[in-house]
This record gives sequence, C-alpha cells and structure tokens, in this order.
Amino acid sequence: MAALQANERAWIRGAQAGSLPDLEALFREHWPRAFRAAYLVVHDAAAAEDIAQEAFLAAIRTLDRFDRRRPFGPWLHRIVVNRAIDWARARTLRAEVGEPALELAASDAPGNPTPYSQPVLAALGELSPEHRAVIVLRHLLEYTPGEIARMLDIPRGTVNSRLRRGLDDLAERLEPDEETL
Amino acid sequence: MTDRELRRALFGIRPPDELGAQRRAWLVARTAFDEREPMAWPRRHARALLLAAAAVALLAAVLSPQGRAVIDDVREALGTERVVGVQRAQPSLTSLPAAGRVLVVAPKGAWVVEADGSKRRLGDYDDASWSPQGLHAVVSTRSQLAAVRPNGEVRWTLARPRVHDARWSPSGFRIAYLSGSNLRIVAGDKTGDRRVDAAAAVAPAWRPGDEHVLAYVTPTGTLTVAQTDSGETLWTAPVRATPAQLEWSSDGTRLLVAVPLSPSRFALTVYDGTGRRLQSLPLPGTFRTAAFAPDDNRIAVVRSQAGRSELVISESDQLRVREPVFAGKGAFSDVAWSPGGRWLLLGWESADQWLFIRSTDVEKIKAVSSLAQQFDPGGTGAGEFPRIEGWCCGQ
Repeated sequence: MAALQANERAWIRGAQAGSLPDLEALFREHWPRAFRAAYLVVHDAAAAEDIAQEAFLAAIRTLDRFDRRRPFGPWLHRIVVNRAIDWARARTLRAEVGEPALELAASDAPGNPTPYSQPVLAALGELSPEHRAVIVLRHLLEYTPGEIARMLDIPRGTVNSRLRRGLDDLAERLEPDEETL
Repeated sequence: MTDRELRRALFGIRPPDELGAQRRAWLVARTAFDEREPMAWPRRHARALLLAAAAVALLAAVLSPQGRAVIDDVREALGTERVVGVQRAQPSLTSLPAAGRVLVVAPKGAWVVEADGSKRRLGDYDDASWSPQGLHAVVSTRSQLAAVRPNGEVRWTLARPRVHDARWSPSGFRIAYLSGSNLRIVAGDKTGDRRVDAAAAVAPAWRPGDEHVLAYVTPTGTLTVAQTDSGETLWTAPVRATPAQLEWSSDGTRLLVAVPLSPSRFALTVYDGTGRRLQSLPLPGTFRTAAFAPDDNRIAVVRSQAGRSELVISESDQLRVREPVFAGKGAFSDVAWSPGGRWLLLGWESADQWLFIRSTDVEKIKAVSSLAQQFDPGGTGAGEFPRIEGWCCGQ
C-alpha cells in the first residue's frame, strides 16, 4: 500500500509536469475501479463510461491544483459515485413519467463472475441508488463508513443505516425462495 | 452471504466491453491532457492582477465619467476564456486534404472552398446546401430561394416568405424547403413549387435513391416519411420533441433522429427503412450535429458537455459503441465527411479552427486557424463562426 501511494504521488507529480506516461499510469491504476463502481450504481455501461470519463476529465482539468499529499482515489471516487447517484435518480424520475428504460437488459452481460456475481448484480439493481452507492463504496472500494460519510456529504449514522438496510435488502433478495425448494 | 462473499461477487462483476471503455476513455483523457495549458506564472497570479485592475477601474469610475469604460473593459476581460486549439495549426487554408469542395455559410454570406484552398463568395445567403453532384447549390435568404453554380452564377430565384433549410433530392429533380411553418417542394428547374404539409423547424431529409422519399416532422410531433410525388405516407413515428436533426444513411436503410430531451441530455434514435425503431440511446450533453459516412453506416456525432465537446464515431446499429475521435474545450460547430469518407472536417468554434481528421487514423490531424477572419476579408472575423454545410463530390 505504501509503495502504491509513493508511486501515485510520483505519477501525479509527473503528470503535473506534463508527463503523459505518468498520467497513463494513474489512469490505468484507477480507471477499472472507477468504471466498475459507476456501473454498479447506474447499471448502464454507456452511462457508467460517460460518468467515469467525465470524472477523469475533471481530474485532468484540475491537475495543477491537486495536492499531491492527498490520495487520488477517494477524490476520484467521490466524483464518480455522486454523479452516478445523480444519474440513477434522474433515470428513476424519467421512468416514473413514462420513458422506457432503454437497453437496460443489453448492459447486463457478465464479465468474469463468481457464482454470486449475477444474482448480486440483479439484486443491487432493485435497491435505491443511495443504497447501491454505500454498498459499492464499502464493499468494492473498501472505504470505511467515516470516509463514505465525507465522500457523500452525509452523517456517518446515515451511512451505517443505509449499509444495514441495503445489505438486509440484498440478503433478502438473494435468499432462495422457500416455496420452490 | 458473508461480507467476503459479497466482496468477491462485486469484484467478479465486469461491465460489458470493459476494455473497450477503458481504451476510449484513455483516448479522450489523453487528448484533454495534450490540450491542457499548464498554469503559468501570470495565470497563477491572474486573480490578484484582475482584482487590482478592478480596484483601479472602480476608483477611476468614481473619479471620472470616462472611468465607466474602463470598468466595462475589465468586466469583459474577466469573463473571457480563450481556447487555444491544436498547436502548429496552419495560419490559413491552403488546400483540402481530399478532392471535392466545401460549402460554407459565414456572416458575410455563402462560400465555396475549392480543393486548392481558394474561396469564392456565392452571395449574401443565410443557408446553403449542395445538389447531389455538387454542380449547383441551393441557397436562401429570408425571402428568397435560389439555385446557384459554384462559380456564383445564379440560375434561378424564387421569392417565398421565411425560407430556410432547403435540401436538394439525391435524384437532382426536387428541392424541399421550409417556408415559415410549411414544407414545400419545387423542381430543380424551379417549376411546380407547392406546399406539401405543415412542418416543424427541422431540416427535411431526402432518402438516398431516385424515389422522392422525404423525412420531416410535423408541428404536432410526428416524424413522417412520405413519397412526395404520390403523396403517400410510408410510415410515421411519434417524437417527444422537435428533433435537432434528421439524417439518412448513404444507402437509405437507416434514419437517424436526434432529439434534445433537456439542455443537458439528448437521444439518438435509429429507424430502419420501414419505420422500425432499431436503436434508441439517451446520452448526456448537448447534441450539436451528426453526419453519416458516405460509404457505410458509420455516424460521426458531435456533442458538448461541461464546457467541452467531443466528436465520436458510432455504427448506426450499435450506438452504444462509440469510438472517440477528438475532444476539446469549448464548442465544436459542425462535422462533414469528405467524399469517399477518408477525412472528417470538424469545426472548432471556440478555438476558431477547422480540423481535418483522418477517419481511419484519428491521430492524424491537420488544423487550420483563424477561420472566422478567412471568411471575413477586410474584417475582424467577429460574428458567427463559419458553418460547414457540406463537403461534396470528388472529381
């Protein structure tokens, strides 16, 4: 972890000085998790790509002002997850006023799943964007509830309650239906 | 399920086309990085300098009436951000990278740019569009439709109120145009001018081929595809708002409809020739323009979002897969394919540049700067950025 942080600081310093290879290293380190986190919140690959891409562009735009002592990941993930929540909320509103959810099924192609991956993806999709976000931040990106509270700008107690409620709902949806046993 | 199993399950979920998304995002990020202007000393201190200037201006305003002009100058400087554009751009347009001619509408009229870069002003027109072989252009002012040769010779004129968005049919025998809220059609030799239907303010689009099949939108929001000689409506489809653009593929089997959903969101929908909706994809950003390639079903799409613009290429049957071509600060205006489809011409309004981009190797870019002034001889280039109305017809 310490080696990664040292590398990251060096990449940021290099990118600030105009080094494309350093920017590429930073991108390769952070893109997969940023994209995946966005996807797990919005459940739409094209939207997730736009969200993660915009977050990186925001990072590049403000690169000169970025404090190298701070870790890059939380800063990026904060942008990604907040934008993903906004996008998912907006889609929910549009669906409520009658617009069909376009091509959602097409975006659910599996990659390299564990036996649980597809059921978890499907169950996550039934939660609210806010619940999905805290689960993704906690269990995919591995932030503490305190860190999540700062990223989403909500009280830590709200994070804990959303996590508890979200995980309960997830577990309920993943339990086998007793009537079919 | 334990926390560990949940974590493993989440790590096991991979979004579709993960590597493709990464590759596309990297191209966009790299372009943005290349354009980045590292903060130099004067800019780091710009805020302090501007505040000092504003204080001086305020003092001057208090002390003298002339000071108000100084305040206005400072206000203008504070609100202006210049987009640098592609470095090492040619200072003037000396040639096109492929055969054909480019039709342009600038504040001082319509122009034809020849392959050798020479420019000819056609006249004081607001709109222009090529005939199918590029032997003529149909041009319009607010009160007149006209057919002109590329050398500027006027073949005929037709007086009509509030004329705009004229389009020449691929057969060469018909011209569709809007006159106020009416869709009208006239023969290529000016005969037989008639009203066809009421229409919304979006340019009608002729389906490629010799049949005179036209797509247009009614004021009540119905996309209509009709055979204009017989008057037969072939198919209709509802649209949620007035589209920004209707565009047929070169083989006439696909119709792209771009609809703004909100100031920050739009939808691209593709229909087949029978009116079946094949694709519909909402996208973030503001739609600018789209153009089908001349030889296949690739679409070049320009959109803006958060102070930036991007040009991407999609297949009409796979809109979700978008290949980034170029992204930059500010606004892009138009895009046009060269005849043959080897080059894309992109107008970068905020940088006052045209970019010629090789469609098969998007890293090959030829940039030309000071476009506005080049179409404003003797002037300053103030006013609207020159619009690209088409790149037509290799020899």
